[in-house]
Amino acid sequence: MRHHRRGRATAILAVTLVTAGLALPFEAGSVDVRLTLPQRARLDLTGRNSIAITPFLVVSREGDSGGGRTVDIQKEFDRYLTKVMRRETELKVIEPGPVEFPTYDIDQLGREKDFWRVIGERLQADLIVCGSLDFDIQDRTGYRTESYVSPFDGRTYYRQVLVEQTGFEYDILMQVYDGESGELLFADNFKDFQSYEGEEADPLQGMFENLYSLEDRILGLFVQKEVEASRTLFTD
Amino acid sequence: MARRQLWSEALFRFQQAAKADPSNPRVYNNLAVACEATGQFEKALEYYRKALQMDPDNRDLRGNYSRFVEFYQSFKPPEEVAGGASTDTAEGETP
Repeated sequence: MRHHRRGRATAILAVTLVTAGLALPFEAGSVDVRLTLPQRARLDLTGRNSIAITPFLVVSREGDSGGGRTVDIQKEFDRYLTKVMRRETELKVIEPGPVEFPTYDIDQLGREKDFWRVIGERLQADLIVCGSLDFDIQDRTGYRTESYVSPFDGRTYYRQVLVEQTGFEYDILMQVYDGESGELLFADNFKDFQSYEGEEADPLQGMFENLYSLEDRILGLFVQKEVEASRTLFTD
Repeated sequence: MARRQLWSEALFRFQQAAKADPSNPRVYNNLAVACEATGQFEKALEYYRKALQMDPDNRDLRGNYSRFVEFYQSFKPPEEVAGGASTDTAEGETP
C-alpha cells in the first residue's frame, strides 16, 4: 500500500515536471532538471549605497579617427557606464567631473590609497570606479579559400576571394576602490572582440557591440544575477 | 515566477512522498532539489545530507550534492563562509 502511494506520487510528479518543460533528457529512474539559481554580486555591497565613476584612462583610441568619424572613447564609455549603473543597480551614481590623477600609470593608481580616500570623502562616495580603456580597430581584410560547385561539370573547385572585414577589440581594465579607506577592492579585465563585413564599419557601432556583450559581466560586480544549473531528480 | 510556483507544487508532493516513505534517500534528494529551486538553501543542504547518510554510494546523489556545495559556497554571505558553516564537505565525501 505504502509503495503504491509512493509510486503514484512520483509518477505524477515526473509527468508534471516533464510536461512543464523542466526536464532534460530522460534516463531510466532519473531525470535531469534545470534550476535557476541566484549568483551574488562579486563585490560585497553591504552598507555601500553610492558609487562615483571617475574618467577611465584611454590606452589606445583608434576609434577617434576611424572611418573619418570621431569617437570620444572615454566620454562614450563614461556615459554608457553611468547610464547602465543607474538603470540596473540600486546604487546612487555620482558623476565627479574632471579628476586630476596623481599618475596615469594604472598600476601605480591602484596603490594611491590616499588619493582615492580623498576622492571618496570629497564626493561622499562609498565606492569609486576607475580603470583604463583600450579600443583597437583591426583591418582583417584578406583572401579566403572558398569552395564552389561548377554548374558545367558538377565538380567542386576552390577559389580565393577577397573578404573585407573589420575587427573591433575592446579591453577594459576595471578597478573599484573603497571610498572610505581608499583601498583597491577589485580589479579585472573585460575583453571582447567583434567582427564586421566591410572595410568602413562604423567604429561607434563596433564599440557599442563590444560593450553590450560585456554588460552582464560588468554588472555582475554590482548586482545579483541568475545562473542556470542542472540537478538529477529520481523518478521511481 | 510560474516555474517557482511549479517547484512549490513539486516540493509539496515530495514532502508527501517523504511522509509516506521516510527511509527513501531518493525522495530526500528530490526534496533537496526542490528546496534549491525555491531558494531554501539551508533546507536543501539538510536534505542532501540526510539522503547521503542513507545512500552514500549513490553517484547521482553525490553529484547533486557536490554541485550544490559549489554553488552554495559562492552564494553564502562571507561571514557564514568564514564561520565554517555546514558546507565544508569536499566533493565525493560522505557528510
